Amino acid sequence: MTVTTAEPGSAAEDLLPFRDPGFRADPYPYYARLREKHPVYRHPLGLYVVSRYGDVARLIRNPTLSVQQLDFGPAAPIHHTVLGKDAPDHTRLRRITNRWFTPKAVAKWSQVTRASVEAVLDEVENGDGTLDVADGLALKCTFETTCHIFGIEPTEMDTIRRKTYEIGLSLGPGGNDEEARATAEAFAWFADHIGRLVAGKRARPGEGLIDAFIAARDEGRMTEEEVVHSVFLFFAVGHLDVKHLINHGIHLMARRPDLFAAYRDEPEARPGIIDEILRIDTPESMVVRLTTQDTVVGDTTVPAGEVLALLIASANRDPEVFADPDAFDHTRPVAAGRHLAFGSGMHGCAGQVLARAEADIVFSAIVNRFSGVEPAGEPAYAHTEFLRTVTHLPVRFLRSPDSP
Amino acid sequence: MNVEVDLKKCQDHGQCVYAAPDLFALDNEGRLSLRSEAADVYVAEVDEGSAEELYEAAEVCPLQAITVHE
Ligand code: HEM
Ligand code: SF4
Repeated sequence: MTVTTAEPGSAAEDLLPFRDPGFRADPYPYYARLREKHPVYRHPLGLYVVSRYGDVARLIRNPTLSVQQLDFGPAAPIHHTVLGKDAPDHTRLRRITNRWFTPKAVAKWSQVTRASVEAVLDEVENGDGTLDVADGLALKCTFETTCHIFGIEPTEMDTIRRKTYEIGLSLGPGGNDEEARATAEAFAWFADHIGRLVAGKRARPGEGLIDAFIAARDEGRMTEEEVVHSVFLFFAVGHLDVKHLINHGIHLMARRPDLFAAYRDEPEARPGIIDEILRIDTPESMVVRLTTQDTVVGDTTVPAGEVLALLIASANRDPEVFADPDAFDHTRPVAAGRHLAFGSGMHGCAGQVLARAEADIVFSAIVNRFSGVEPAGEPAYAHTEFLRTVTHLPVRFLRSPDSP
Repeated sequence: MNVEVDLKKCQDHGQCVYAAPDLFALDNEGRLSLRSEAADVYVAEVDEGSAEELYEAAEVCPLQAITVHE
C-alpha cells in the first residue's frame, strides 16, 4: 500500500526500518523497543504503528475503523473482496463464503489435504528422505485443497505462487514503481486466468466454490469483479499464510526433537503447539486500517483519515500478556490472552478452521511416519513488510527404525 | 431450547450476528454484546422459532463457541 497522507514523522531515526535486511531477518527486537518506548509510533511513511497487545486487540475490533477507505495503491482490486470492504458490503460477501469453511465443510476438504500430503511423503520415503518442504509439501497440499474447494483441477501452481507474492509486495508500506508494475501485471494475469476458469465453469457447471460465486452473481449478490477478485483472494489466502505456519512448524521440529516427540505422543497438546507456532512466528505481521474519527490509543489521539498499522506479530510477543514471550512454550495458559495471528473482529480470518486442520494433517502425517526430521541445508527467506515468508526449507526425514 | 456461548473461546468475529441477527449483536466496541451479561459462559433460552438461525450461527462460528441444547 502506498501511503501519501502525512508529512514525515518527527522521529529522526526510523524505528521500524521495513526494508532493512536486519529488520526483516529478526523484527522482534524492534517491536520490543516500540512496545516499551513508542507504543503509538508515527512512522516516517506517515503510518501510526500500534504495537502493544491491549491496544491492537481493542483496535482490531473497533467498528469505526475502515478498510474500504484505505488506499491500497497498486493493490486496489483487493477492494472487490471482503478484505477491502466495510459493512454492509463486507457482510454480504462474507456470508457467501462462510459455509464453505465451517468445521463440517473442513472435514470434507481435509480428505484432499491428507491424500496430497501422503502422496508427497510416499515419494520422500521411496527417495532419499530429503525434501524442500517449502514448495514441495506446504504449498502443494494447501494449493490442491484450495483447487478442490473451488471445484477445479490444480494447475498453474507455480505461477499462482509467484503472482501472489508479487501482489503481496505491494501490500506493505512503502513500495516502488517496479513492485507496482509487477502487481498490476499479476492482477492482469489473474483476471485473465480466472476469467477462463469462470467461463469453463459456466460451460460445465459443478459444485465448487467458483460455481457458488457464479450463482451469487446470477442472483445479483455479487458483481463480476467481486467474483474474479474473490477467486483471486482464495487462491492467495488458501496457500500464503498457512504455508508459512506449516513451514515454521517443520522448521521448529527440525531443531527441536522434543517438540516432534510432543506432537507425536500427546495428541491433546497438538492445538496448543499450532497456536504457539502462530504466536511466536506470526505469518502476517500487521493488519492495516483507516481512522474515520478521532481515535484514542493510549496517550495519543489519532485524527480521522490516518492509517493505523496494527502489529499483530508484536502484540503476540507482548510480555504483559505472554510471560517470557520470546520462548516457545505450548503449555501457556490461554486465559492470559489469545494470540492475534488470525486477526479478530469482523475481518478475523475466515479460514482458520481450515488452516489449523491443514497444519495438523501435515504435522501428524510426519510424526506418524518418521522418527524425526532434521535440517538438510539452510532455509531461505523472502520476508516482506507483511508476510514472513520461507522460500526454501530443505529437510531430511528420518526413517522409523522399525520400517522396512 | 437453550443456547450456550463460551465467551472465553469467542473472538468477536460476529459471524453469528450475520447468521442470526435476532439473537446476536456486536456492541459499540465491536465485542459480542452478550459479554455484558456473562463473563465466561452465557446461557439463555431461545424460542423454537429461531432454531434455524441459531443452528446456522453455531455452525459458522469459526471458534465453535456456540452450543445448542434441545
Ligand atoms: C495460518 C494461516 C492463516 C493465517 C495466519 C491467517 C491470517 C489472517 C489474518 C490476520 C486476517 C485478517 C486480515 C485483516 O484483519 O485485515 C485474515 C483474514 C482472512 N483470511 Fe486468513 N489466515 C490464514 C489462513 C487462511 C485460509 C486457509 C483461508 C481460506 C482458505 C483464509 C481466508 C481468509 C479470508 C477470506 C480473510 C478475510 C476475512 C475478512 O476480511 O472478512 N485464511 N487471515
Ligand atoms: S461467531 Fe463465534 S466467535 Fe464470532 S462473535 Fe459469534 S460466538 Fe463469537
